[in-house]
Amino acid sequence: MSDNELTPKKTRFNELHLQLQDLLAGYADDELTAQEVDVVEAHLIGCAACRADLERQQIMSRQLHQLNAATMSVTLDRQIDEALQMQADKEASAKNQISHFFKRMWEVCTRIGSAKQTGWVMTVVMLMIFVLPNIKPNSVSNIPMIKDAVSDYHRVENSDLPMLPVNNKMVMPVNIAGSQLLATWTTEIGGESAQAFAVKVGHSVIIQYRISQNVLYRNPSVRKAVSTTGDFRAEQDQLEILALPINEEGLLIVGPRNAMSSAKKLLTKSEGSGVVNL
Amino acid sequence: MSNETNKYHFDSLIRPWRNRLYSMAYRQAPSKEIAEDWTQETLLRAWKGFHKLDQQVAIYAWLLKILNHVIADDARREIRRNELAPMHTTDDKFLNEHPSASPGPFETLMNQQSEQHMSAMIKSLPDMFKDIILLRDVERLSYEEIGDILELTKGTVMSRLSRGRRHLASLLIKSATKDEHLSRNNPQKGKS
Repeated sequence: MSDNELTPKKTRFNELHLQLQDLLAGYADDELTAQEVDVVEAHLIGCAACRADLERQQIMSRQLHQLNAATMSVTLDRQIDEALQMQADKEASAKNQISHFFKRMWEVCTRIGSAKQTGWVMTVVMLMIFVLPNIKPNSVSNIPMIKDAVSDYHRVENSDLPMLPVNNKMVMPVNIAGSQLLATWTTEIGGESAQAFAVKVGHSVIIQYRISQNVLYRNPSVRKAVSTTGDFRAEQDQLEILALPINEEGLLIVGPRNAMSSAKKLLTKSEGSGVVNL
Repeated sequence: MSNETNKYHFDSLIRPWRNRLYSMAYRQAPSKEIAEDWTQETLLRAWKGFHKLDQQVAIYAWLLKILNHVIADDARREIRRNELAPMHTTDDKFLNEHPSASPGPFETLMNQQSEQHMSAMIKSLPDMFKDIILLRDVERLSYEEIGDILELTKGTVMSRLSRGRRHLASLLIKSATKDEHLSRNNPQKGKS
């Protein structure tokens, strides 16, 4: 076996090395638990690269803390005071107008109706017209696989992608020309385990979820759309979702609207996948 | 409580933090005018939300959270919020082989940087790194406060800070090396 081949021990070290790098800031800033400190210190003994990185972080943090603050001008200070006062005056005036309006409404309604109840009913109706927002039903949020995929996308947006192992052999379900595989992980979509693939397309991230046909076809709206047009499309939370069958599996693709439209143009037949008609 | 009393309480709580808030806006804004707009908008939103403020909340962290939303909402910004940030690992070739990357020379390099240059380097970072470095290394907020302001878990704060500091170190070394090279080739021109 040559030195360059990965032994199980080397693979474990590499994985730990990748994971622990993200804890170095916490170690530098005393934000780790006692257990985490032990693990990081044990790793630092044998890793010169991480030791050097830690020292650089500590040096940089000390230097940055010494940067002087910018000072607000007197003009800006005065301008803000005036804007706040104007806002406070506007609110006080609006409050007076609203209470005057409802007082008048009450008087008019009780004059129209013979009983006080008519006045209350009319006031509530007017409140509903002016106060309640226009509620539109959301047609896709009740589809579990869509809800799970969107939720997973947002979860990944707000955290960091797991690091891709050096010897990664995972192949994404569909190739998008010019894209780059960033990370892969297992998640749950529609109650079943699914493999997720985060792909860089331009400046955006699109996530492909490999799901079972069972999950794909569970919802009647999805079944109907796939049988008519070959796929199911939806929008939620400024994201676009595309669901389609591939080979004997299903595929969900989730991404921002602008990235999805360019991705659809660049989708090509992936090796071993079915034909994707868009 | 009357509006006037409310306004008095608001002023007394918020005024001590105004300058620091402006400084945070200034470190992130592309221009002084935009920093001023952001500061004013943040304070107006703070006033509107003042009646909902929990007695226990840290005022400055609350203001920074509003500032974060103001910045995100500003249509004038380039859409960099979701810009993918470079992922340097500690095995990065540049950081392992460059002479200025070793701790001793790196400290010397840091001491030589002007405040203006450091601020410019921070401004050039992708947002996901810039926010965290400013909140932790400049403002010295705790990971928990940072997580609350940016709506992130503590783990994500930590990993972004690790990666952000690594990226900033790389930028500073490259920039300093480039300046050194330029002044060697043009000995008459002083270093800016």
